[in-house]
Amino acid sequence: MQATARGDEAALAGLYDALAPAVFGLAKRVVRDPSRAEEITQDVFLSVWRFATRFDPAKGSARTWILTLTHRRAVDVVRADAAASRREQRAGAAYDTPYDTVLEEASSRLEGEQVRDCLETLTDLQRESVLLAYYGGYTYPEVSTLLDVKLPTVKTRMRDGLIRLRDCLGVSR
Amino acid sequence: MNADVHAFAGAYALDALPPDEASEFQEHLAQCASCQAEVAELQITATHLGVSVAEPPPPRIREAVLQQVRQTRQLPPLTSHRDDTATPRRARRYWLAAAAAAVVVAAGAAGLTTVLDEPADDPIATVVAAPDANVAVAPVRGGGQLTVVSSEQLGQAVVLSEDLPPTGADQIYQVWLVDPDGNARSADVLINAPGAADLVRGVEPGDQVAITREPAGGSRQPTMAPLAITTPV
Repeated sequence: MQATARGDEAALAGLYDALAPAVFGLAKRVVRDPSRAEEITQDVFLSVWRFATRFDPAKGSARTWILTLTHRRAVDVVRADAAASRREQRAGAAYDTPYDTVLEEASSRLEGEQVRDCLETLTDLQRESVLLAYYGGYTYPEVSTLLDVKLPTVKTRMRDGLIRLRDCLGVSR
Repeated sequence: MNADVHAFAGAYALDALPPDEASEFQEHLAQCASCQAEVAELQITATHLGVSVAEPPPPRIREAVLQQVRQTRQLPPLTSHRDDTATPRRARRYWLAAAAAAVVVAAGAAGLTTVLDEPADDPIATVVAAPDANVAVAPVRGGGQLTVVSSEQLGQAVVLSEDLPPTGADQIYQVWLVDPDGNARSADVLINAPGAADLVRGVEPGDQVAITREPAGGSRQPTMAPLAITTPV
């Protein structure tokens, strides 16, 4: 990362090789359209290049930074699409993806065994809230509607769920 | 924000807060060290979910990225003192670049430094340092890039154009605000110097920022399809 910040194109290529599968996989999971996911992958690595000079390793890993950028970009894309289709249709809910599909695929295709095992330690509601938000790109009020659960409950389950996942994965700064 | 503000940390780390609550939480976050630590850990946790669905992109994407990188300048690093000899335009560009980095941090990336001096009375610096500042980037047809930093609270945006092809003496680039129904209104910004940063007032939530090429002096309504249009602010 520091070499990338000094304008080393080979270092950026190294970051790409290490993280492009995670970036592309996550973007594709959220937007579901491979060509949009390809665009996001390009955008993210171009941002990494441009902003590398501002990256402070003391504040977190390059991987977390890059995956956070990716998720945010992917969520922006699906929400802009949802807003556009709401405008077009002028009628109620316009979600492309039934939420049970999101959940099913998220659980069946998870590659990290540890992540899958740890997800099983969550309650159903914690797991559904976390996965619908992260892979589905839904806001917590949308998740609340999808799961027919009260707003404060969803918010709390997202936090509880992530904390349980954090402890199970042994995440610390 | 209500008493159970800490409950927002999970939804925030999952990018699941609606924009108004996200900016509210960010304001709180700036003053709450324990929240920052929790959010950072929850973001790392969320990253594991992302990595667990990794899938290799087509090889041509790697080539495309490296090609773009060869043609793209990196932002200058942030420095701890302000350059008193900077021209106003240089100073503005400094602020905008700093803001873009700050916005990425505000947006949830924990890895970037947020060294922002307090803005004095520079309206551009005020927008880019606003707690709800948001950044949108759009490529420009024909070359170059449009970067917009907007603050919903202030109803203002800063528009930075980079590397636009020269228009010739009889044309300029004009900036438009496009409402959710697709109606364009002039942002009263005519770009005739490359790399300029300009302030736009009267920005409404949901507006998109667009640019077109227009006859020198500007037009009342765009005379062509946008060369670039951002996501809604």
